[in-house]
Amino acid sequence: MTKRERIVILSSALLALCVIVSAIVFLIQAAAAGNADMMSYLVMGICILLGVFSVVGVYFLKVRKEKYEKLLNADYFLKYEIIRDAIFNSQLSASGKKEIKEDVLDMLLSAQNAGKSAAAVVTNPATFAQEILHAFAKPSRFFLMTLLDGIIGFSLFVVGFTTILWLEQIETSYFAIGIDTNMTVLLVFVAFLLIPVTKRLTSTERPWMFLLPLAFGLLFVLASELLRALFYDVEAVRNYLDGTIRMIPGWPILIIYVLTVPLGLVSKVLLRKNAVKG
Amino acid sequence: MEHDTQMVKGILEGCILKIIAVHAEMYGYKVVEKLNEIEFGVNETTVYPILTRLQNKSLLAIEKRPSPLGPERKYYSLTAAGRTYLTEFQETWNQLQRVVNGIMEVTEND
Repeated sequence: MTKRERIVILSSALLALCVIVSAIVFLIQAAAAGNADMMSYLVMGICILLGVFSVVGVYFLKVRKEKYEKLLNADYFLKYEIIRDAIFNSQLSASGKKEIKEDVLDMLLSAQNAGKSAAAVVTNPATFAQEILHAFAKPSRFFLMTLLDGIIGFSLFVVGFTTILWLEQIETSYFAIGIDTNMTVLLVFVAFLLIPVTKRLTSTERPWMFLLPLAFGLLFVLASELLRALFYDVEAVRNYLDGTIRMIPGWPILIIYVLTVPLGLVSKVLLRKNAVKG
Repeated sequence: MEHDTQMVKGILEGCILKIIAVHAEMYGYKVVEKLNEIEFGVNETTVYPILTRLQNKSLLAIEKRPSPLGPERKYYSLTAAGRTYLTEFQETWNQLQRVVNGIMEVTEND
């Protein structure tokens, strides 16, 4: 296992651990307050299962070597895994990613078979991957697709969170449900900043960037607690920490959120098609 | 030779099309070998993005066949648009070569 693969597994295991510990703490608090019911235990069980499966999923998707990848020697594989991650994180279609992965594997295996050194063949794997991607579309078009991903992700987060909160208090109207203000800010950061930045930075030779989501989460919690301890008397801070926002106040807004997903996906397909034609 | 300039990349596009046209069809690694035989001094990471770009511009057609080394190998051949592009490239190159050589000779005589 390479250093990069170890960090990927470590990052996913730590994230899963955070989710599991949070679920257990939540359950202990609920039990202490006498509010722990069957649903609380069920939610905790689901969180633990999701945590464990996410690590297994990361292993199968990002660490386990496929048939032909095993043929690359250690030096070639170190270069290849950076190219593979950059292509995997890109905005290309699934079939496009598969095609490039096979081409790169064929190219590297041919060079390895001819006795060339990995360093002579791939000087900078991250730059090479970017050049391949630029053969498909301009960076501005990829940026637009990333922005669409953010909009789709944010819509799914908002509808998902509102639905879960509503299920906990099903007697309340769906449109009266509010999401915590700081949670809404977190969702914006995750959808529009954290996910694209992490994808971009993990497509380079800096494997520690896989720990960025965990670091961001810890910083967010720390910043919130510092604000609570030091600036809670400021009204804006109080509103940020304890206030709620009704993100879906009525049917028209709900319809917009729901329609955003298919419209965003169709726009991405069209952008991708036109990019290759151009 | 420095391969990062747009000019060299443009020239490489024409050379790659010519090499594939001469051999009827070819796979990526062989194109690199042929370029290096004529002392172009390129590596795989320079050539592969250009092949991808030429394929996306529909100047190259591809056919996949089993490879003795790994996954299916992509064999490139010129499309009709690729042949037209190559003819235009050769005309432009010949004209450019005449003009540049003329300028260089004048400068040397001065």
